[in-house]
Amino acid sequence: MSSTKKRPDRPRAISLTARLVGFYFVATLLILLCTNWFQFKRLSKDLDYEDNDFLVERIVNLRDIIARHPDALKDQMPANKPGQQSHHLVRIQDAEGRTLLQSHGIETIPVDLFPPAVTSSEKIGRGVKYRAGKKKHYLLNAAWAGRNDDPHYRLVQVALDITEDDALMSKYLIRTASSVVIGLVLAAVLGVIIAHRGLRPLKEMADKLSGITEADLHQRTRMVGSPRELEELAVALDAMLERLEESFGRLSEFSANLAHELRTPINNLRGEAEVALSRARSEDEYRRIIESAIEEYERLSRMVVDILFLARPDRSYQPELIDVRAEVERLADYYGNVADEDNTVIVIEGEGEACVDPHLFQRAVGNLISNALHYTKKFGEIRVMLRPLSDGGLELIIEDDGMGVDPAELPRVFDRFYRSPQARQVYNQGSGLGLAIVRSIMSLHGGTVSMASAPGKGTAVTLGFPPPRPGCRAHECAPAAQEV
Amino acid sequence: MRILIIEDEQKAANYLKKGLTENGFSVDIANDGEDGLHLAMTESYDLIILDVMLPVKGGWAIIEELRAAGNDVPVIFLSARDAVHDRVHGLELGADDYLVKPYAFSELLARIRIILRRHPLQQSELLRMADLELDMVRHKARRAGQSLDLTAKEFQLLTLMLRRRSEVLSRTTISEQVWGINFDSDTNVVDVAIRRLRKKVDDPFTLKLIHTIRGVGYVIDEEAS
Repeated sequence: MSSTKKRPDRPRAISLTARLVGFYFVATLLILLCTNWFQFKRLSKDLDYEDNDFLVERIVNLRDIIARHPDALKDQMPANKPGQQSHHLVRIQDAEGRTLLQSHGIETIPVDLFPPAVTSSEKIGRGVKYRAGKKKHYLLNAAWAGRNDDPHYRLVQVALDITEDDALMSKYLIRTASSVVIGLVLAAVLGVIIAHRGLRPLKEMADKLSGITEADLHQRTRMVGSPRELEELAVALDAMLERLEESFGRLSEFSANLAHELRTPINNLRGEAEVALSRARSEDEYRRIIESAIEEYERLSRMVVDILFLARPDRSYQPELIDVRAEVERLADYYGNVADEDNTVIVIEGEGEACVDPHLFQRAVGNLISNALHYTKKFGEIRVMLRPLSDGGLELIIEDDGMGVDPAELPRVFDRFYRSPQARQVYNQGSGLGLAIVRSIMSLHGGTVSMASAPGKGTAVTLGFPPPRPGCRAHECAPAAQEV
Repeated sequence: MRILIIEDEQKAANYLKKGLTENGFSVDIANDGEDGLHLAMTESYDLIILDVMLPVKGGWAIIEELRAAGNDVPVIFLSARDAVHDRVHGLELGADDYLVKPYAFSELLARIRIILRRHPLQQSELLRMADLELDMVRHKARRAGQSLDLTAKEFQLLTLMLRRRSEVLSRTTISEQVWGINFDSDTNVVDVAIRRLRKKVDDPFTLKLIHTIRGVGYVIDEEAS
């Protein structure tokens, strides 16, 4: 395994950074548009009000003068010097529509563009905007001025030059737009920076992970000060690394054990063959050497079969419903002679059925009975107890009254190739794979296996079989001893 | 009886040839699939021993072509692949048997003999060897006129050996045939059973019938091998 930093090709996914920046961008756009639009509207309204108020004020003022000193009207006409704020123009007509007075410039604005005039008893309305040529904009308003009892004595028309206001507003609009654009660019840049900074722990984690090979599986991704959102991911990843480390550890231990176990028989074979060839031997000697070799080959073959089984226990898995008691009796019968030789009895109690692969069941229980026979005392008793469980499952307990297992060894007895020192003294032909095979057969069936032991008093191994699945049927022809 | 061995592993082919020749067969060897198929098509053999993994043309292809050509010579597959589906596949293609390496030579010999046996196994009511008699109807065993007190399994074991006399039976075969046990136990169950059987069948008599072929198995025969 090499640790390349190359990411595998995959369909272009939108990066988290791009997504975050996109969100920032849209959010900023909305906020800026809303606030600026509001400001803009506010400003243009304010200007509008001011202009209208000015016109109304002028009209009221002129009415006053018309009512009281019509002669002074001429002096009230605006001079409108250049450079003066709020240019306004005035036109005064009589009731027949003859123009009596007007300021210079108003003649370009037709009379009928002005809003309908109101009498002094009515409220003066808002002005009307008028775009003249030459980029001139005016706000127009009109009203009747009364004198004595004639409410329609004079028509007052006032026009306010609001060109500058409009220019101000468009300038303002341009400024606002550019500030929005700048804001957006800033938001995008900041978004990228923020996203990068925010996602930095993730990148650090990825970098750390991409560098981990089987040689340094002890590394962990959790860092002090990593954000809470990443904590969960880090914890999960670390748990995975821990499991991997453990299985790699087991695997390398297994390989080491395997090499050792293979070395022994191969060494015997080679040594015996070399010694045999070093000088001429009698026929009988050759025969003995070859016989011994065949025994070693047997041992090797059995080991290969067991190792292959452990590597792929499910290759021949074909579960069916079996009568467990009948199957245990068959095994007890098989081992009966050997038990007899040691004056040991095999007792079976209870009954039940389970959904198992008969061959694998045979193998698991056979291994356990065979172990019990190896490690039990002479004149002992091996008890196989079947106990149906309340959930429909079945417990199978194999108890012996033998030497027992040291409590310190218990956790390791199911490991591949593990043989306790005491066990080696009693029986050194075992491969150390028997219990590992039992365990893998049980996990293949979704069952459990556990061992309890009191040194000097005996050992009990408990197999727990789950309730039979619906649809699990007994095989038509159960494997039986065939007549040959 | 002519046997063709198609096997690319020279050592294996040689010891097979040696063993089979010593057992009275005449043997030809082909080291790759192409030659093997050619020999099988042009010569006439009583049986072909075929490796699955072969250079040029594999074992599966050879048997397919043989069967397609209407040649139904018995075939035994030898393979290091022991997956159930490989075994099933071989038998489906028309093989008569399938042995997984490493196998015992005695086992191969026994299976060859079973396939080539033109007459069925002795199914007579009385099995005999020297002065040993097995009455299959009454389930009684006698030697030199004396009744032997055998357990049911011992009787079954002795029957198996007598029916396949002169064949070396491996411990695995005995476990399977007598007890219906299909795994290799590391416990010497079969050895103990044979020892007990000997006590009753051979020990009281001068002529020993049951022989041990160390490392291979057991055989019942009138002459020591």
